[in-house]
Amino acid sequence: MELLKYWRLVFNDHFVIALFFLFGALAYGYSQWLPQLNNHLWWSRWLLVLWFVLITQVGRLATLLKRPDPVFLLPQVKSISRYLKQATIYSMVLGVLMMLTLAAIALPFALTTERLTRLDISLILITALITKVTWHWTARKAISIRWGAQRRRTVAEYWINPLIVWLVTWLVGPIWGLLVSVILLIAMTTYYRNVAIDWRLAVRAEQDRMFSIYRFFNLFTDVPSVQGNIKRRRWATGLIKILENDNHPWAYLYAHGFVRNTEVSGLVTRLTIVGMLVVFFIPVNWLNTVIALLFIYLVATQLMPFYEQYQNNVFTHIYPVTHEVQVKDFQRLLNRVIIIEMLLIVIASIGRDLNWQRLGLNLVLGITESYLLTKFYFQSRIKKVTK
Amino acid sequence: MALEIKNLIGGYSRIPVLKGISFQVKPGELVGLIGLNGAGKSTTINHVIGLLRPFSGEITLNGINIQQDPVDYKKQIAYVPETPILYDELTLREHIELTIKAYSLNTEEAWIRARKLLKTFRLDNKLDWFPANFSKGMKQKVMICCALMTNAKLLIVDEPFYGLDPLAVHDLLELIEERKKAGTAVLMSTHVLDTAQRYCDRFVLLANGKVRARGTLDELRQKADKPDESLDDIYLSLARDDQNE
Repeated sequence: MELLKYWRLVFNDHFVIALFFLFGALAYGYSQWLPQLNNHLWWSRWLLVLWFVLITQVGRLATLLKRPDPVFLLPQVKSISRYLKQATIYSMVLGVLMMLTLAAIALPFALTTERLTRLDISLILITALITKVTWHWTARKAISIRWGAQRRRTVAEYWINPLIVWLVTWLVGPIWGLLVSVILLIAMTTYYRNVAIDWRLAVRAEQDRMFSIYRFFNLFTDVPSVQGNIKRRRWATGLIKILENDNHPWAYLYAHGFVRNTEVSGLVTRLTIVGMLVVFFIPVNWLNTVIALLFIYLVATQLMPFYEQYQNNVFTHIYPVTHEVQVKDFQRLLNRVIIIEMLLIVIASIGRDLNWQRLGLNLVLGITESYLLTKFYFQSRIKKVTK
Repeated sequence: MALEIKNLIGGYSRIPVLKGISFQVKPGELVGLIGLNGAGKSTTINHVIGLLRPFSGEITLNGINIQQDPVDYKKQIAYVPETPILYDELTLREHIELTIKAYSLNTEEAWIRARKLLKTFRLDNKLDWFPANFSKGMKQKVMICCALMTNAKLLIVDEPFYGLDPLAVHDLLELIEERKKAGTAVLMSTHVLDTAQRYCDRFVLLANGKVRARGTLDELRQKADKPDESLDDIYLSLARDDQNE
């Protein structure tokens, strides 16, 4: 239920539009790419193996255990094992659904590079289902007293079981892959039978899971339990100098906070690097420009909530500095960060084909967009916030 | 008159916590703000530092009204909060630099003052530490250093005695004494009554959002009709009276 609340914040209106474009672009790129492939590329099968092993890892075991549970539920051994069984089945259903969806994405690719009958496809989907169930059983036994301590073995089983199955499926044949997956499922469930819960491990595993989910949500909104770390970053002193403004306390605070708070600067850096990679590899001119502008917009919107970072500190209200100066100082930081990021993305957009024309166009549009974002979009956001 | 509060009615939402409070703090005077939990001490302080907007009534500092001229008003105050609040991203040195920028202080003079204060509180070798590495008492000392290095005409100290070691309490009181001599007005809220009795010039006793009594220790003794009692006893008897009402 708590997660629903966060999903609503993730899919705010602007972001949905951005996502729409991003997925549209990806789907378009995929469909353009498929006809260019000829049969029997040496790497196509390996790519399929890699994809299927990776998607087997999606969807974890959700036990929803909380830290006080070991204390309050300790006597309830019977009902806990029943509860865990239900939780495991629930996670399996969700995981299998996700896995089948992701597997479906790869099917067009598989159909162009491989010769597959309808029977083969159904066999592959059944194999996917069984492999995911085996994977979840691994996750379940990993939080048991009897098997929990063997962490390396568990990690190996997470990866090597699917690897064997998918290697056999794609290199030998779907029917053999199915056979191997069934054998593995039977082997795992008979060997790991005694799965009484290890509370310490179970709670920690659940906390890890929630933390990774929260960290994802934290990209879009503030999650109370995820707080960024602080790093000194002596090497970035020059950058702080560029971002701050003589004798302006707010500029000083924002510049130091931005560079040292791993959450904010980490997010901006990650988005910039992903943006650079994407625009470097997209050769379609108009798409390249749209994506470049999209990433500039994304970074700008992700940085804007940083304006409110220090609202909870009394001292920011006590300093004899007006609100207007604070807005100006933040605008300055925003402007400089966006410009730096914009330049990096534009430079990367030159691509493998060294297309200077595209770079020039992106530069002009990028500068215009940065100006509009800091000048008008930020102002309207601030008005909403300060209301 | 440095700080002048006239008929202040205020609080957090629509319901007033303070129901018409008036008192003054003169330059060079230490006034103790005393009251039970929930009496309105922190609310009063939040109004004085400008966090809350009064429903009615007036707060002026050397003739400058907080509503009419917030920047000039805020330039005159320094605040030490009850729970230390520091910026996680800034080192101790940078907190001091930020304070210098925020109050537009002369950098060299301010650093001379700051170094002296840091030395007093044994923080001078920790200039490059981040708040995460400080204990609660150390953070409190950082707050005191940042407040005392300004040229504030009014110093507001909210419950300073918890979390500080005895030596630091002593040093703080001595520093306040020094600032008083230089003409700074000091408003201090506290529960530690025997210390307050020894150091405060005057007291304002708050109860239920009203000023229950105010004046010097002798004046309070007269009011409570207990000529030789300590502040502690006077306070307790006044507080009990209120409860019986």
